[in-house]
Amino acid sequence: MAISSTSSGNRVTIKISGRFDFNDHVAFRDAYHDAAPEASYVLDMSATDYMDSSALGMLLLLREHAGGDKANITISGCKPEIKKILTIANFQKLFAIQ
Amino acid sequence: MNIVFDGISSQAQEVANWLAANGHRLFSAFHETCDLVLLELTETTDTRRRLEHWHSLTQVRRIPLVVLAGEEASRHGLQCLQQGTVDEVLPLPLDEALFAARLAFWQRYLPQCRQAAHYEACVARYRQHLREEQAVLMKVLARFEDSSIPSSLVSLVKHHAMPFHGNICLAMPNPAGGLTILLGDFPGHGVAAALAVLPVAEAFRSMTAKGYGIAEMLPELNAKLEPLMPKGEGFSACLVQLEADCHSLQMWNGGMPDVLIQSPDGGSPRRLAARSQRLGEVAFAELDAVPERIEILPGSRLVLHSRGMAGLSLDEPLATMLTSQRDASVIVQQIEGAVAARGVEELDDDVCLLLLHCDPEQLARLGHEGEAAQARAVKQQASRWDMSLTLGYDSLRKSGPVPVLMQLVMELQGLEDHREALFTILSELFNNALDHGILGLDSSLKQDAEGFVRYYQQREQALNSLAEGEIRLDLSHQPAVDGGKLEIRIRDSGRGFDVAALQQAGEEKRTYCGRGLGLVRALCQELEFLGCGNDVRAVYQWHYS
Repeated sequence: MAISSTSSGNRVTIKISGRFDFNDHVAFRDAYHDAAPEASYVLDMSATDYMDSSALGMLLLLREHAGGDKANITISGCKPEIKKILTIANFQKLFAIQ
Repeated sequence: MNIVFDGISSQAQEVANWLAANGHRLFSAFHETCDLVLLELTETTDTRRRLEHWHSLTQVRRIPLVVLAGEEASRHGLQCLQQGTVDEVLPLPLDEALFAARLAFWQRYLPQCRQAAHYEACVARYRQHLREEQAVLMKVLARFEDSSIPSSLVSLVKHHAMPFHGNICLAMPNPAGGLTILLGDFPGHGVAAALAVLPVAEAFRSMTAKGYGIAEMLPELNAKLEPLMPKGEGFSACLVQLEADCHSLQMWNGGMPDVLIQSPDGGSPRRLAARSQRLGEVAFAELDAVPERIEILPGSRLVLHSRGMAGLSLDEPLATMLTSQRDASVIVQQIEGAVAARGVEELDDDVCLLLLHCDPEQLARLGHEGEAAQARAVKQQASRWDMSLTLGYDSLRKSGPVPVLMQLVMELQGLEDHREALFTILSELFNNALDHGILGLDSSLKQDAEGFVRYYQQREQALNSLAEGEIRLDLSHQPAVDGGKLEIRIRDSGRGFDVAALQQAGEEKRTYCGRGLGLVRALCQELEFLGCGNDVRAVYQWHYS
């Protein structure tokens, strides 16, 4: 696992590499905790190999932080298997998945 | 005769009356069975439009178009005749003797016109049929030819003419770490040539894979081809077997153009001409079937090509190109340029050129990839195995067993394409057993962000102070229809839970938990809780890709 975040202007990019599971919950929260709720978020999951259900929960917590239904979050670059998990969880309705 | 008549002047009307009086039937509109079209030419724009109209209708059906031209229009009429827009010009006013003679001529000529139209329609149908057949043929050929040609060593220019002219190009790494190549040209074209490709490609592929060299391949190919070849015909072919160290190669050339070998230290390329008869032309005993052994330097480049190359106009001869240009892609571009200049549709023979770079390092890499692919295929064959792992409380305190299990599964069954799905299933089920069965944590804590954090804090504390309990994981795999079936069973020593209540709760509220089982259920074919809920069984079925 490796989580890194960069921000430029109003845009926060969080890159998640390797496995994304409950072990990352602190690092993941730290990646967005100080960012303004109204920022636009990009989750770069191009290097994410795998995610579990608690990672799904963490994505929802980010969404809550970013204003719930008003949140502007894009999930980009996911591999087919990750996309499958997001689809099973019906997350395409809550996030913009590219 | 049935004549379509288009004219309005009084002189034209006179002609119409005369025709009717002489037993011809006149029509004002075009119809398929008419024998002749008679159009009055006047010097108006309307006439030109009608001329074009009649010309396009009559031309494809080979129906004669005759124009009537008064003095004013006669010059225009003669121009049309010269250009081939019309078939005859008859002067107005009516000259009965002339008309009678010319119509008699057209009457005699009619059967030829009809026959020509009939033949043209047949040819058009035939061409369409041929095009469809070619399209299918090309698909089949592509499957046979291109799949195993290693692009890291081989640059290829290949254009099939229409119809297919029998060029075939095969290249494949061999088990000795070298590369075996066949570039050939079947006599004839179309389906006949394509049919002969199949046995040759199959023999080449299976013999190369089994480690046979080209010396052993030649008698086999000759035996396959001899009964197929018409008398006096043969399969021109050049076979090359490059050794792994790229210090030598074996070559046999029967009826193909010269092969060029360019040494890496420059100079003009060596030229090796065909020395043997074509395959299938004579019995094997009469064939000079001993490949030549040729010493080369590693890094040499080899060019094999088919006769169709001769039909292209290249800026400079191949040998010159090879001497002056190190970059294979530039050479390929130049030849592609020549093909484009000629027009792919216009090719009257297949064009095939293969440029081989004898690079031992690339060749070695290719060999490794081949071996790895073969090992993967063997590993993927579904087999029977099972394993059981029991983790005591002190083992559970360390990191989870899922990555290790996954490694074992990959070693045993090589399910690379299923890695993520299996990882998800195993982790979710194992974490459920640990979190709820052993540690007794309550997911309802994960109501909000703080609860989420608190949940994992509690988890860590409980795990650190864990003093009893165990989890047993059983994985059992067996072959199934078109793949395999993996059964996963995870039992914990906890008290279990009310399965029905949990499922209901999971569907009612959507907070930050309760998605794990949904994922597992979606990824597995079967999922069930046994006993008091501390025993879960999941079945994952996979298929060969």
